[in-house]
Amino acid sequence: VSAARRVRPVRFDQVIPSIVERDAVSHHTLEAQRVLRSMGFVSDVFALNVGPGLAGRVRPIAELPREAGGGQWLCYQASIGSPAADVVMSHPAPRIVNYHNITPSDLVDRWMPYLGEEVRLGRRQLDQLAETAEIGIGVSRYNAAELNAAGYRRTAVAALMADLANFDRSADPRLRSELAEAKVAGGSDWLFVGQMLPHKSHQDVVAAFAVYLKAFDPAARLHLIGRPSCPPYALAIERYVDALGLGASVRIAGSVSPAELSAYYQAADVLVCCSEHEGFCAPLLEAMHHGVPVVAYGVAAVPETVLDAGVVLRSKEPILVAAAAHRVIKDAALREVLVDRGRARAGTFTIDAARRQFADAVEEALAAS
Amino acid sequence: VTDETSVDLDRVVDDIGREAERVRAEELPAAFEADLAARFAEIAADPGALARDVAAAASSHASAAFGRGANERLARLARRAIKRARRTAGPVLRSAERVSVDRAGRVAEAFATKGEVVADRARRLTTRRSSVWVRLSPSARTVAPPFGGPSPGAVADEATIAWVLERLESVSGTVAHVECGDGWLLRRLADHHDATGADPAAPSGAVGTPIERAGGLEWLGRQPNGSLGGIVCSQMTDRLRPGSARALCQVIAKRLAPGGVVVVLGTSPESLLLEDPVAADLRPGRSFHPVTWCHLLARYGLEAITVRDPAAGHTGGLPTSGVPAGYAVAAKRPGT
Repeated sequence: VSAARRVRPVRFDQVIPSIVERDAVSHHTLEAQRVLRSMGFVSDVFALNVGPGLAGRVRPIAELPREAGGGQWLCYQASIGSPAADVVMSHPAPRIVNYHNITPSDLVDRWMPYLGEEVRLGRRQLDQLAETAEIGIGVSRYNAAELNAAGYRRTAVAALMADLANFDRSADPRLRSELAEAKVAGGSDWLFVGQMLPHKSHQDVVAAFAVYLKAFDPAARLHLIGRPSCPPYALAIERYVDALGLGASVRIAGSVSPAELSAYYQAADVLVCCSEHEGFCAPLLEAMHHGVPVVAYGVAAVPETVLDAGVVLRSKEPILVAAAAHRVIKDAALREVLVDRGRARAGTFTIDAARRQFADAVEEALAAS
Repeated sequence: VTDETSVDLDRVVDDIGREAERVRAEELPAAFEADLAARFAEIAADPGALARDVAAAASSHASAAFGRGANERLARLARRAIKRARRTAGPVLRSAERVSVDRAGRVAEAFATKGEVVADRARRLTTRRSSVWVRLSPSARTVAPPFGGPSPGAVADEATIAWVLERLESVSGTVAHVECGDGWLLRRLADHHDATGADPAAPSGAVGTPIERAGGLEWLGRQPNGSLGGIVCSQMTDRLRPGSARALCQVIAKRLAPGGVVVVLGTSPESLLLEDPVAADLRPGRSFHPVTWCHLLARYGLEAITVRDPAAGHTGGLPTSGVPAGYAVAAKRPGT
């Protein structure tokens, strides 16, 4: 280790492939910038793709400074394959990797071949970054375990910096009243929040809901919230809903504003998640924060995120998911326990705690270099 | 099991499992769940067909919009995109500031007339792997070296080639094809011009026209100012690093003789599918949007900018020869 490397850097910049609003990783990155600045570093975020609304807060990657001699460190936000990783790898500054998980390619290949290429590349880049990263920070233990397996010599867990307090702002009044009006007529409200991507398995939620309508509550409603990021898959879900004759009971709302999302959470009786892969799954925490019980298929990081604050299933057979949703909706005592535990669980993911974890991991890397 | 003080979730889950079995046996029609699965399997059997339906819907929407005056709407979109580019994309796209909104509007109008064609390109989106993406990243090169294998062949169809030759018809002096692959276009250029080419994987003696082994930017950088009557850029335009597009346009403007013509060939139809040029350009692995090339070429003083209808010469949205379709942008250096 050179003497220069032991000098505390002046700059601690972040690089992220794409940054957009209403995205958990993007939000985390901006929070990490605040943390780094609060630690005394000059810190900017550099991205290949800067979404609308983030102008002035994020700089194009072409402007990333190159300071040698230990005066600059980089933090790479890894969630997909990208030339941004190559920029980081070819940069002279010491670097850390903040890992948000990369969806296995077999879950997206059939629907989005180009995304399959990108996630495969992402895995390769994650492996390559292991050789030089001072630390790999996973946003869950599940992610940290993947970093260990990839050969990162030092790993830490620092939770996703999601400010659940943002939801405490008022919900969209028009939507809230619309949803409340529907509830008065009877029937419970299922909710799933997640981009319409194949590995989110919306079809399993729809199938379970179809069983629920048939066996438990014919007046129930399902709200699917999330950007249709894979249009053919979103079309398939839409057709599936139509083919099952569920058009009147299922609302495919697409991407919604934070105020609208808050209204959906407030109206929901249960959040049902049948995803095939989640590196953390922020909507689970959001649901808990809102006092919405969770029924989730226990795969990847889902059990770790939910812990004992929700019903985690070993299978996602439609009847099992439907029966679980029915139980948490109708069993008042269980519901109360899950709501309490959920709020407590969400409470452990305060943004302040996540900020401290991230800062500690950064300090650990600096001290070890 | 649901005592508030000590809920055993494992027992709850077991209970749920038993209840599920009971409902399955007593309340659900036989094979109800299997039917649900079969329904989705049937709908999702062919993602390519679903993608075509998405594209058809987009095309139909575009047609309807066209009838209601899409020119103005697209011009408005372009203006908005330029504003966004100014805000978000730093030096490369800040160059858009020096292009008048009117010019962008005219470009958008040109695109509006071809709106259905653009949507048609979506039909191939999900069935085509992004080879461009693989070429772009050095990390990917360890698996699929972009120029380590056979030299790239034709990246444009016959109609595009004819369009390129027409744009270059009036130029005098040497015409260079940078990153010319195996010389697929160079041979045609040589029929009309003093033609030369450069490619980082130049084959030796593959064609009767000289090809120098060099990258496009590198080769152009070595040429004297005003020395080229025409420049055709392909391949490299799909894998430029951030900031390099501006450098490319700058060097092109310098190397062209007065009255000289540059043609940029983009090979990836994906770039046309995204309404927002910024998104098209900055998404990893996607080639630059033609509107962005228009901005950049104008930024460095080139004029008479035209964009080629990407569908000309194709039937049913699919190239007959297996050659990927893309776009072409031509511009001229002022003077004679």
